[in-house]
Amino acid sequence: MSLISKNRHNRVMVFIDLRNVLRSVELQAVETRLDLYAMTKQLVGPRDLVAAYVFDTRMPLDVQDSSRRFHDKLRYDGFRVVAREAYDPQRNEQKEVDVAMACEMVVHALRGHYDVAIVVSGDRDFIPAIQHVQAAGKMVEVAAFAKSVSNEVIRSADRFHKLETMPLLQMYSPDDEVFAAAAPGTDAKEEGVSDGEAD
Amino acid sequence: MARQIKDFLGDFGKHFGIEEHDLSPFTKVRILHFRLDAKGNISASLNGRPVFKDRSSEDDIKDGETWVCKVDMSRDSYYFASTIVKLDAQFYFELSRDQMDAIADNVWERHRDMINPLMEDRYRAAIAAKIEKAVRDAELESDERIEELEKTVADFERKDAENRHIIASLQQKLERCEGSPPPAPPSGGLFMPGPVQSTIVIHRSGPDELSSEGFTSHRYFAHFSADQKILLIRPHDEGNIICDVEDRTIRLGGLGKISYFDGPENVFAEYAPQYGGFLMRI
Repeated sequence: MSLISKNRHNRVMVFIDLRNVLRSVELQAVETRLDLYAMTKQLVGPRDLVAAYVFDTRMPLDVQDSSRRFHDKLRYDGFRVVAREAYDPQRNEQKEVDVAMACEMVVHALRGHYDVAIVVSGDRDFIPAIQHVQAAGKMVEVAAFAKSVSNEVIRSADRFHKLETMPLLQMYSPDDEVFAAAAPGTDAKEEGVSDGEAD
Repeated sequence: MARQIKDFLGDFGKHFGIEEHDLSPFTKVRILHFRLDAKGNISASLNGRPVFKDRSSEDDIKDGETWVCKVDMSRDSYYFASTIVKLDAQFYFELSRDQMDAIADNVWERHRDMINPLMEDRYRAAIAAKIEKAVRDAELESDERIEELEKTVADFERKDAENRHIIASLQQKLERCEGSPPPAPPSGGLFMPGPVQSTIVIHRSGPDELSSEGFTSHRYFAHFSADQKILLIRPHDEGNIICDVEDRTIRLGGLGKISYFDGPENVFAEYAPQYGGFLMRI
């Protein structure tokens, strides 16, 4: 039971660290994908969603990039995709993404664009940003898979959502490969993300 | 008893060819225990008089031996004894059953006062040991039985508590259902006419197959939690799971891998307004 109650009139902004949350979804045996759309809808609930940001990296425009179509699909679904051109393929690392997301959280908080920030990441690099947002009088909720979140992050947040207890992994018909392959956002499926659905 | 001993000795006489009428009035058959006296002679004692071995007797008598002898009691101060047979282990083995009984009876009659307390003590100790063992076994058995009963009682109490909890939960659901109409789903009106059931029964007929009368929509989304405990089946016009409207069956790839299928079963699913679909435990 939380001391802080949900106010359905709260303005909510969602910040998704895409690579961090995808790393936690490791169900190799089952053909399934993380449904970002359903996740955002479930996290926000009856509250007002101001904006949902997805932070990721992308390749330069002259390089073949399978995530580009996925980013487009997310934009189509209503996400604001911030894709930094800072992926290091040799070290399999993404750069600038954490700082970009932290800056976005703090800037919107200081400008009073939202009442509640939902951070979808277990990375403890966000703790200073979370504290600054809270200092600006906003509430911060953290959503992550329990195995990939540090206790410091959970303690910093005003509320913690366990993603593994939420029905977020989308299933497919067993004989539906053709359907899945033909569906928009197929490239994204290769990365373990579902394109979800638009209401 | 004296008569029996006399008969016993008479039997010996007959056994060794000595008849009663062969003996003179001063000659008697007696059992003598020979010892080495202070003067270095082997002698026995009878009626307070020393008894020495007769010269005619060929047997060699040693210190501590017991012999059946023919005793010449014609002298006043000492007697002479002619050996008949030595009473040793072999002698007792060769005794007849009647003779052994006669000896035992004799011993019993002579030492009854001494044997009785000994036997009583021995039997009393044996009976006490037996009683103690029986009590111990009974206590052990009763302890085990009590332990089993306590476990059974604990099981029943646990089941009772579970059942009470289930009944209370079902009563609460019943009260809620009676008090308010079931919530309507957010979409799928075209394929879902009429009110939506708050609880439906889903029949799992195969590892990946689910069917239910509640599957009234043509398309569904299906999501499960990463901890593989709950499955959400949500009707939606753009759902990727096609439902056969005739047999109302959907097939979910990989369901058998996240939830082991061990035969057809019925599962209850509840409508979850926050998700806009039916939630079932897997």
